[in-house]
Amino acid sequence: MKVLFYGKLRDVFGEQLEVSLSAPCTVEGLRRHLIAGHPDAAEALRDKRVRAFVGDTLVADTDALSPGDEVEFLAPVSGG
Amino acid sequence: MGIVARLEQLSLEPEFELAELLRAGTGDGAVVSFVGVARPLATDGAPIDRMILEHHPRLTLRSLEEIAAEAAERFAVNHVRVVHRSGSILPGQPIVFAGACSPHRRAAFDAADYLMDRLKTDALLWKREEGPGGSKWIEPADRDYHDRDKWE
Repeated sequence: MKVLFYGKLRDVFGEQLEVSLSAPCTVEGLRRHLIAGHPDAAEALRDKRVRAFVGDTLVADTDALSPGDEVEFLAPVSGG
Repeated sequence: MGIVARLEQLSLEPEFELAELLRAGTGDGAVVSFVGVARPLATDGAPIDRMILEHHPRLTLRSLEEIAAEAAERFAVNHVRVVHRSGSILPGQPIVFAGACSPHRRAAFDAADYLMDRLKTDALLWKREEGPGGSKWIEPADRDYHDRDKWE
């Protein structure tokens, strides 16, 4: 599955990653997988303000992901 | 009711936006606008060469539209206008225009205040300052979240 990152998460992961998961997983499972590969990103990815989207829809940590999903992790936002 | 929400990647002209808002507000008694401008110094006093605002190809505009629509819903205003920059912004250049028109002034003041409190914390943009010391991501301060939450 394709995983895209925005904001400061790009400093660690770049703009996107291709992730292969052997078993179905949830958003939280994907998060754990990403942190296992980048322990230095644990704090940034665990930030409560980080949101995940699939198909431009906000998803919860417990939501299941499909292999074809494109998941987007949005770092804390700041406008104005 | 008129709602305008735009994301501008290259330039923002506050004079044009205000003229458009005044035109839209013909017949209203109050037109309030706010312009956010890039500062030359960071909060710690370090010089800033430029600010970079990154956006999402679809969700950023949607967030601006939602914030503008919620302001229109919440206050007795006839027009709401939000225009936000993304991309590279030099000190002194405008970042955001937020304005509203209403029959009487209080609603337009409140709507503009609300728009900015929401934009600071809820607009889907990622801001970093670039200066001689490198690049630094900027996140909302606690007071920004407090300012937003006071509207709940």
